Amino acid sequence: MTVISVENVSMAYADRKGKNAKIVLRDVNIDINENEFVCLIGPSGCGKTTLLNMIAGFERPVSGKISYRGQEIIEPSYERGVVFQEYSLLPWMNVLGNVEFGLEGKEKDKEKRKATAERYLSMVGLSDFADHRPNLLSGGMKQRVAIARTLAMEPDVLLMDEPFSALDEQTRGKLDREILEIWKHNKRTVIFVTHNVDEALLLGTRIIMLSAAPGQVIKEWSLGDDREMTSERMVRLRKDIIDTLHLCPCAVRSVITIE
Amino acid sequence: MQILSNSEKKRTDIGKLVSETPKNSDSVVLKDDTPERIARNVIIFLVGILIVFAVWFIVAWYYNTFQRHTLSFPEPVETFRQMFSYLGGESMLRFSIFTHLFATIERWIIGYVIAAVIGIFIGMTLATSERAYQIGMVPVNILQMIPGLAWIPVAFLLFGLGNNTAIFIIAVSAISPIAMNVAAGIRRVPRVNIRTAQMVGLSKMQMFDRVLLPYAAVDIVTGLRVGMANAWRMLIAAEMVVGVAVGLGYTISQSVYMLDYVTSFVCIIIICIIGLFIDKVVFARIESFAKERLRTEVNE
Ligand SMILES: Nc1ncnc2c1ncn2[C@@H]1O[C@H](COP(=O)(O)OP(=O)(O)OP(=O)(O)O)[C@@H](O)[C@H]1O
Ligand SMILES: [Mg+2]
Repeated sequence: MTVISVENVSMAYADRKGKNAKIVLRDVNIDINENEFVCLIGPSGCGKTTLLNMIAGFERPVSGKISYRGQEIIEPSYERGVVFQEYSLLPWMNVLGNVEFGLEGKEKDKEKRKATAERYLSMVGLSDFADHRPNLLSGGMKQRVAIARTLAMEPDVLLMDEPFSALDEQTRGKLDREILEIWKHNKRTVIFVTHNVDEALLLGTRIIMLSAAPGQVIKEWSLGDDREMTSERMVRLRKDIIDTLHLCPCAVRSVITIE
Repeated sequence: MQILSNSEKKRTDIGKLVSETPKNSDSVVLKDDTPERIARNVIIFLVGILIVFAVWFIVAWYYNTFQRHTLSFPEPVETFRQMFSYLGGESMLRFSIFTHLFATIERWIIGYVIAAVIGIFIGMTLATSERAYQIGMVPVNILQMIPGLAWIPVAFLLFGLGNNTAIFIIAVSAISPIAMNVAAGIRRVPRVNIRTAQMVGLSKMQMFDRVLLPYAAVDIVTGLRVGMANAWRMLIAAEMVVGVAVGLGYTISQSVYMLDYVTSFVCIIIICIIGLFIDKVVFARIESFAKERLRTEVNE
C-alpha cells in the first residue's frame, strides 16, 4: 500500500526582495510503500530538506500534491515524526523531559508518558543521562535523544533528515547500525535523507537520487536484504550510484564554473 | 613575580587538584569559596558607596563654605540623623514616613501590574505573525518615544488630578519596553523548536505555554526589569507634578517649597534604596533563575 505519495510536486522560494522565486524542486513524483526504508540522496542544496518538510507538513508545495495514506497533507501530524538536521532539543528540559515532550500531544497520562520515554531512552543507550541538560551532551548524544523523542511518538512514518551529518565517521556508522536494528525489530516506513552513498547503501531498501536544484528524481535503485558491502552486487551498485552522482547536471555545471 | 589573572589562577588551581586525584576518578571537588566571594563583593560595594558619600560631602562642604547664602546644603550626617528620626516615628508632612512610602509603593505596584499585563499581552500578540509584528511595532515605538511626563495632558483629560493620573503615567511608561522584549524573545525561538512542537501535536496555546514563553523567559524578565526601572522613575516624577496628597515624590516637591531640603534629601535616599533593592536583589534573582533554567549561561 502507498503510504506517502508525492505527485508532480514543485516548490519555489521567493527571494528576499520578493522579485524572483528560486525553484527548488520541479515535478517530483515518488510513491513510498508500507515499511520501505527510502534513502533520499543528492547534492547539498538540491531540496532534500525541503521535500521532507513538505511531507512532514511544515510547508506546502507551490504546485502538485503530497498525500499520506490517500489524504492530502496540509499540516504537521504526529503520524509523521521528524528527526531534524539541526539540533532541536529544548534546552531547559533534561534529556528524559525532552523525550517525554514527544508524547505531549498524544498521551495525556503523565506516568505512561514517562514509562514510554524511559523505554526509548534506553533503546538509544542514554538512560544514564536521563537527568542531564542538553548542553552537557555531545552532538551525537543530542541526535540520539532527538531520535528517541521521535521514536517515542511511535509515528507511522519516520522522516530523518541527515541526522548524523554533523558527526564523525565512526559515530555515524555506529548510530546507522543502531537505526537499522531498531527498524528491523519494529518495521515501519522510513524516509532517510543523506548525501552519503555508503550510508544509503547500508540502510535503504530503496535509494532515490535527486539532481541539483531544481531537484528532480534522476534515478532510483531497489536493494535486497543483502547488506554485504563487499559483495559483487553491492560494489557494482555503489559504482553505479557514484557514477550517476558525478554525471548529474550539478557536477557538470560545477566543472564549467571551475574552468 | 608572575601575576595571574583570575581565570588563569582558577585554571591552574583545578590543574593541581586533578593531579592529586586518583587516576580512576573522573571528577574533582573544587573547594567552596563562597565566603571569600561574599567578602570581596561586600568590599566592592562599600568602596562604591564611599565614593557617593565623598562626592556628596565635598559638594555640600564647598557650597556651605564658599557659596552659602541663606540655605545650607544638607550634609550626609545631618540627613541620616533626620532619616532615623523620621523612621523612629516623627511626622513628615502630616503623615509618618511609612505612610508616604506605602502610598508610593502601592501606586507603583498598581501601575506596574497593569503595565506588565498589557505589555505581555501586546508582546505575545506582536509575536504571532510577521505582519502583526511589523504593524504593531509602529505604535509601540511611538509609545516608547513619548517621555512619561509628556502624557500629563492626556492623563489630566482622562483622569483629572490625582492618584489615577499618577498610575496612568507609571503604567504607560513601562508598557513599551515590556512589550518589545516579550515580542523579541518569542521571535528568537528557533524555527526547529516550533516545528517540533507542531509535529508533537501541541495546540497554539500549549505552544506558548510549553515552548515560546520558556524560551523567551530571559527576555521577558529583562523587559519586566527595564519596565520596572522606567515605572519607578516616572512614579516619583509623576507624584511631584500631578497633585497627589501623599507619597515620597510629593514629599520631595512639598519640602522644596517649604525650603526643608533635609527632608527632600531623606526621601531621595529612601527612593534610591528601594529602587536598588528591587532591581539588584529581586529582579537580578529572577533573571539569574530564568537564565539558570534555560542554561543560556556559559559553563565556566
Ligand atoms: N525558507 C527558505 N527560504 C528561501 N530559500 C530556501 C528556504 N529553504 C530552503 N531554501 C533554498 O532551497 C534550496 C534547497 O534547500 P534544502 O535545505 O532543501 O537543501 P538540502 O538538499 O537539504 O541541502 P543539504 O544537503 O545541504 O541539507 C537551497 O538553495 C536553499 O537556499
Ligand atoms: Mg538538508
